[in-house]
Amino acid sequence: MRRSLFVGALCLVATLPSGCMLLVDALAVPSESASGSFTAIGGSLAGISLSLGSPPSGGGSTSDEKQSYSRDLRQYVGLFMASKGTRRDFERGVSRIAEAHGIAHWEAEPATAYAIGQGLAQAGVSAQQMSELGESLTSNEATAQQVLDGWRNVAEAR
Amino acid sequence: MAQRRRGTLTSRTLRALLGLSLFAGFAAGVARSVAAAEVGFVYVPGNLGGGSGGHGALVIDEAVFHIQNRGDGLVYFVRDRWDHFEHVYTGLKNRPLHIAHVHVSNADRERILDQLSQMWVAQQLALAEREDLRRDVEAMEALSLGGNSIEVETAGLVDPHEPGAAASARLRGQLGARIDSGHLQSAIQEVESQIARTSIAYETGVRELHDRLALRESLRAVEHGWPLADAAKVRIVPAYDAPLTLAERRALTAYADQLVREWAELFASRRSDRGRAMLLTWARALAIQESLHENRLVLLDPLPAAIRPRSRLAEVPPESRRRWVDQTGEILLRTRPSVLSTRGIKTSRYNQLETLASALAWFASGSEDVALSDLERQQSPARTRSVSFRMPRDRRARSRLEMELERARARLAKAESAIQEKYAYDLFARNCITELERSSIDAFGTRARARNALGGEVTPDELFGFIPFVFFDRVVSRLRVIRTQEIPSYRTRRLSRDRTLGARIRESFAPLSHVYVPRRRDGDFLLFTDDVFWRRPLYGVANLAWGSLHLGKGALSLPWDRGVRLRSGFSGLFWSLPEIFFVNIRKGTFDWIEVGGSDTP
Repeated sequence: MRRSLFVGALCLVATLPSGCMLLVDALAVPSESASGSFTAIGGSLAGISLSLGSPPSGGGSTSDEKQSYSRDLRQYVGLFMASKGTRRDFERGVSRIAEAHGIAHWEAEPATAYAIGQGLAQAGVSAQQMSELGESLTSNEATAQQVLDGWRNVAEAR
Repeated sequence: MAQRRRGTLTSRTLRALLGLSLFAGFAAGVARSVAAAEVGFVYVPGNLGGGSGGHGALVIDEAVFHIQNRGDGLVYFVRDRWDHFEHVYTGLKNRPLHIAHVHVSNADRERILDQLSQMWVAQQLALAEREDLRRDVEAMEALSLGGNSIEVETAGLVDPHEPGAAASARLRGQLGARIDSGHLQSAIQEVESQIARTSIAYETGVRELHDRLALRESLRAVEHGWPLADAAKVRIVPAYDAPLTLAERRALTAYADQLVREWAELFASRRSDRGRAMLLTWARALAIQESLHENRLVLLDPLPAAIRPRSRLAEVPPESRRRWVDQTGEILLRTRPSVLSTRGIKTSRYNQLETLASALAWFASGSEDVALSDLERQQSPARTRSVSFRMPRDRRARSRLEMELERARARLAKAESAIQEKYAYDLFARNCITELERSSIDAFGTRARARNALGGEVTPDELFGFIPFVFFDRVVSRLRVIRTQEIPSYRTRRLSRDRTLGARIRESFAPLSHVYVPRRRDGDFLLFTDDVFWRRPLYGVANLAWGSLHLGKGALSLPWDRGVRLRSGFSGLFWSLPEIFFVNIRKGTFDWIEVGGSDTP
C-alpha cells in the first residue's frame, strides 16, 4: 500500500513541468522506506524554497505566536503521516493551520520548513529517509537545511 | 431553552469582542499564569448561561486550553490567552477561578502542550474537512441541476464587473518587473485548459476545480486590473479614524511591495491551493493602494459575506453597546501604531487590525444581529463569489456527476458520523472535564508515565469523574500541587472596595445594586447568594418568592412580550431551588467591563 502510494506520488511528480525550483524533482529517487505521506510532504516543501529569498515579514510577531504555529504544524505532520494523504491534502492542511495563525503565504514563513522537519522526526522518519530527502534537495539547499535542522532538533534530543 | 441559548450566544459575542481586544495586547497583562515548570488546573464554579455545572481548563504559561459545548451537540477544543479567559470568566461571567498549580518538568510540560495542540489540530482539520465536503455536495447538487458555477472562497474580494482600477494598474506595473504579461496570459491559458480537463471525481470532490478556479480568478484579477469589491472593504468608523501619518504611509508602501513580491512567489509556487492565497494577497495590496490614495485606512473585511445571525443583541442595553463601540475603537486606536510600524508590517498582525475594524463597524452599525461569533482572532478575509466555468453537458458527464454526487453525500455522512463519534458531547462521558483528564493522560502515552509526571492520576472513568468540582478536589489531593490560588469574581472584587454596612446591604439586593444591573438572561432574583453560606437557604426562599411573583407577572404579560418575562420569572424561581439546599449557581453576569480597568485582578 505504502509503496503504491509512493509510486503514485512519483508519477504525479514526474508530470510536473520542469524548470521550477522544485523539491519534487528529487522525490523521483525511489525509496523503499518512504511512505506516501512522506512523499506528499516532500512535494509540498518545494515551494518553500521559492520564498526563502524574501526578507522576514517584519516585526510585531511574538515568539509565542510563532511557537504556537510551529507546534501545530509539527503535530499536523504527525497526524498526516498516519493518514497517508496526498500532497494536495497535506498542503490544504498546512494552509488551514497557517490561516488560523494569520499566515497566508506559509511557504515564505521560515518556521514552516523547520517545523515540518520536527514533525517528521516526531513521526519517526528515519535518518536514512531524511538523508534521501536532503540529497534530493540539492537545488533547494536552504529548505533542505531547515528541514534537516528541524528533524535533528527533535531526533537527536530523543 | 431559548433563553439559555440566547444567553450563551450573547456571551460568545462578548467573548469574540474581548478576544479581539485582548489579543491586540491592550489589556494589562496579569501575571497570574503559571510559571515555566508548572501546569495549572483551573476550576470555574457554575453560573447561568451554559455553565451551570461548572467548567475546567488547563493553563500553561499564558495559554489556556478548555473544552466548550456550543449547543450543537459537539465539544470544541478552545485555545485562549490567559488574560482573555480571566476577563471573560471572572468578569463578564462573574465566576471565580480556582487554580491548582502542579509542578512538572519542562519536558513533561512540552508533552502536554504537544498533546493539546494535537487535539486542537485534529479537530480543526476534521471540522474543515466536513465543511469542504458540505461545499462539495452543495456545488455538485447545483451542477447536477444544470448550473455552471461554484462558490469560490476569496474570489469575492475582487469585482470582475467593474472597470479596471488605477490602484490595480499601479500594482500591475510593480509586478511587471517580475512577471511579464505574456507569462501571465500563458498561465491563464494553462489553468483554463486544466479546468476544462477537470473531472468532478469522488476522490477530490470539487476541490481541485475550486483550487483551479481560484487560481484563474487571481490571475485574471491581475491581468484585467479588477478592482477591490466594495463589499469586501471596511473603513474605520470616523470617530476612531485618522489620516495616515507619514510613517504609516511608508510602512504601508513597503508592505504593498512585500505583498506584490509574495504574489509573484505564489505565482511561481506549485502549491495546489495557492489561488486563494494569491487572491487574498492581491486584494490586500489593492486595499493598501486605496488607503494611500484616500489617505485613510481601507481594510479587507473578514466578516463572512453571508452573515448568519447567531446572536441577537436586542436585550443588551444601548449603554453597554455604546461602550463596546468605545472600547473597540480605543483598542483599534492603540493597536494601529504597533501594526503599521515602519519596522515592517506582519501579516498576522495586519489581519488583527482588519478584524478589529470589522468588529467596530458592526458594533457601530447598531445592528441587532451580530455575526461576531463567527469571527476568530485571526480570520482571513475570504469573501466568496460564484465563479462560472464551462462544464461538459453530455449524457455521460451528467451520469458521472450523479454518481459522484451520491458518493460525495456518502462521504459527507461518513465524516459527520466520525465527528459525532469523536466529539459528541456527553454529560457523563465527554464533557469539559473528561477531555481535560484524558489529554493530561494521553500526553504521556501510559497512565504510569502520567502518574510519574504529575505526581498522581485523575481519570475520567472514576466515579463522578465528570463533575468539575470533584475533578478539582482530586487534582488538589492527588497531583503534585505546589500551591492553589483563587481569583475572585468581578462582583466580589468590586464589593471589596466598599465594605461599609450600607454598601453590603445594598449590594446584597440585585435590584438595588450599583455594581450589577439585572438582566433577563440571569432570571429574576432578589438576593445574591454566592457570597453567603449560612444565610443561603433563607435567601433562596426569598428568591423563590421573588421568582414566583415575576412568574405570575410574566403570565399576565404573555400576550404582549412573547413570554420573555415568563421565562425570566421561571428561571429566577428554578435557580432559587438549589440555594435552599446551600448550593449557589446563579451569580449574575455583566455585558461590559472595562478591559484592564482598576478592577482587573
